[in-house]
Amino acid sequence: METNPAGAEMGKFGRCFMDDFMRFIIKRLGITAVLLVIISMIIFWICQLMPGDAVDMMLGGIALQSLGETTVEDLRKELGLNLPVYQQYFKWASGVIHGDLGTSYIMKAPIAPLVISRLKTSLLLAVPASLMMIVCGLALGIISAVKEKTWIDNSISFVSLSMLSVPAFLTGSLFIYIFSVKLNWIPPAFNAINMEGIGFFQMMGSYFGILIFPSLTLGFESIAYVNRQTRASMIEELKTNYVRTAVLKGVPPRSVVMRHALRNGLLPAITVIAFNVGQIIAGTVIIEAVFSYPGIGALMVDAIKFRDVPLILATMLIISASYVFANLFADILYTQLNPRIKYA
Amino acid sequence: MKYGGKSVVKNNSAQTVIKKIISGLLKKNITPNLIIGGILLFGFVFIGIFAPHVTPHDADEMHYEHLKETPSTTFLLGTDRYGRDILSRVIVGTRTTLLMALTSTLLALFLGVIVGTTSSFYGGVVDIVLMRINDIFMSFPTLIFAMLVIGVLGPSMTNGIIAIGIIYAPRVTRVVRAQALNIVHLEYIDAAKVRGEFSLYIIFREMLPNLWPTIIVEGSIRLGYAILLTASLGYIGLGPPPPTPDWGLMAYSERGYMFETPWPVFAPCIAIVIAVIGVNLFGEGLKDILLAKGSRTKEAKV
Repeated sequence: METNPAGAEMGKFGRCFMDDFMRFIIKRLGITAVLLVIISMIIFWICQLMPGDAVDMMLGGIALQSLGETTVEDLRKELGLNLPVYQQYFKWASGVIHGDLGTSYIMKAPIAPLVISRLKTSLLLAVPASLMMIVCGLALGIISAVKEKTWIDNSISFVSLSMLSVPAFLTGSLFIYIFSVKLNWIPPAFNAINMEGIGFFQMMGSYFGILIFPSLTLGFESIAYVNRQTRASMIEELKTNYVRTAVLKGVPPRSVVMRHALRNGLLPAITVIAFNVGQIIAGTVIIEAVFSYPGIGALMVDAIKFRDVPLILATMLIISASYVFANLFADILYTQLNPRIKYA
Repeated sequence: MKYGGKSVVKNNSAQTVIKKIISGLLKKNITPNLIIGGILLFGFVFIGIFAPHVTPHDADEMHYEHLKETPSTTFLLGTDRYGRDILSRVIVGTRTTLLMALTSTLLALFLGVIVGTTSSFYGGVVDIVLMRINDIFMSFPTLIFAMLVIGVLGPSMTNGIIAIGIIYAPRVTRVVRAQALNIVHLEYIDAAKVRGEFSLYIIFREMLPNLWPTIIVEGSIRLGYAILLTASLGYIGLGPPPPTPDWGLMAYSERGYMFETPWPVFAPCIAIVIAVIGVNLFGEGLKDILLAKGSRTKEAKV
């Protein structure tokens, strides 16, 4: 580490800095909480617009007629469906806060454990995909910035541009065709793998070889985005005067890139990375359909197809929340890494 | 002209944008991107319009004696599990996908332009409130929100269009508002306000003409995304319902038969890729003409 000239004064300003930082964090957390509440309200309200209510879903048309109106009304009352929408929302929201996501109509089981286990299997794909995105995206971006306008840069740019035009299910189908149909390395449908009762890391350890393919598919598009952003910001940075000074001073090129330029070049990339972590979580919907993988995205698609409102609410909320938290994390990281930003 | 503002209106109407494109073409501002993209995009539009007349077979006809065949001279891209000709289905699928993508993009542009211009024109509380609402809608992942809307309305082509239009509108709004903020403080807008024009008149006749280049470029970007989103929705079964030849749906419903023939899965996928590349290249080309550095500064000086 170079000595920071401002470092000597840190003792004096340290407390002030911490205060500012804490205030910033609290403010951001507050905004995020409000955002989550509004998002949950929107999701809840949109779901109320669905034709037919829970009782219709649970009983189906034929049973509804044979049961008679009084029984149906009793059931409605029991489920709280006769209440106004806002009271239903508060009932649901207080349940969510206490960890109760309601009961699924189609699965006839409490949702919370189901969603958590599905989320775990999805994270088996999303975590490696995010890591791959960060490592590959940054590395490729730095390489193409350093080798700007050479064949290396051109080919990386071409590949990443075409990655952005390719739907994820094509990449996935291609992987299945090559590695499952032709080479027989991976199963054509992942729901055959037994994932019950095995821990996250144990699962990761024993199935890493086959999980890598859906993960890679999931991360592909994001790698391209991160690569493009890193390339653009690194090219800007490499043209600045301080980089030229460092080069002329005789700092080894590797050090110029990694220690001088990258520090500033990383900042715009972080926003893109965080955004894409959210995209990866949402992208599981497609990838899980391609690989028949039993994750939260597949659960959500089923919930929507069967119009299972509590399940739609739960999966929607979890995916949106992880998206919001990814952006919150990026915001905090960004201000931490960029001292020029005042905690506003 | 009596008022300074009027001349601006005349010089920057929608026709001027077309003139700008043509003069850009004449000035050899043509990039290979624009040509290749234009050929691909308009090729697809052409195929889409004349789809039923250019297919070698009927898209829904099932040839039971030719199930899951590999490409041959009769069936250029082979047949699917019901013996339907894949090439014909891909061609007819062009219609579904392009119609959904184009209409939803137009819907997104329409909503986005209205909110974006209103927000920047009125400023203050209106701007803050509209932009906060915008931020909230942008904090949903696109696919997830589209799924939610379709979940409520039920999967169909119209509902797909509504869902994609709504989800892309906030993104258009943001771009339009940013560009409109550069214009809203210019003197000709003040002049229009001073001479007592209606707000609607100022927004649509004074501001909008200068926003056309931005809107067109943003539209071309959105169109590319809309094609991908349409295909993705089709793939997870929330697009048009099954007998419709939709690219995403075709790829999904045939994926279990890849051991026998991969063509039914890859043919529509390749069509998607070509369409998206075409739109993206065309968009890049338009950007070079409409938002070139020179013309942008000229706009700012208006």
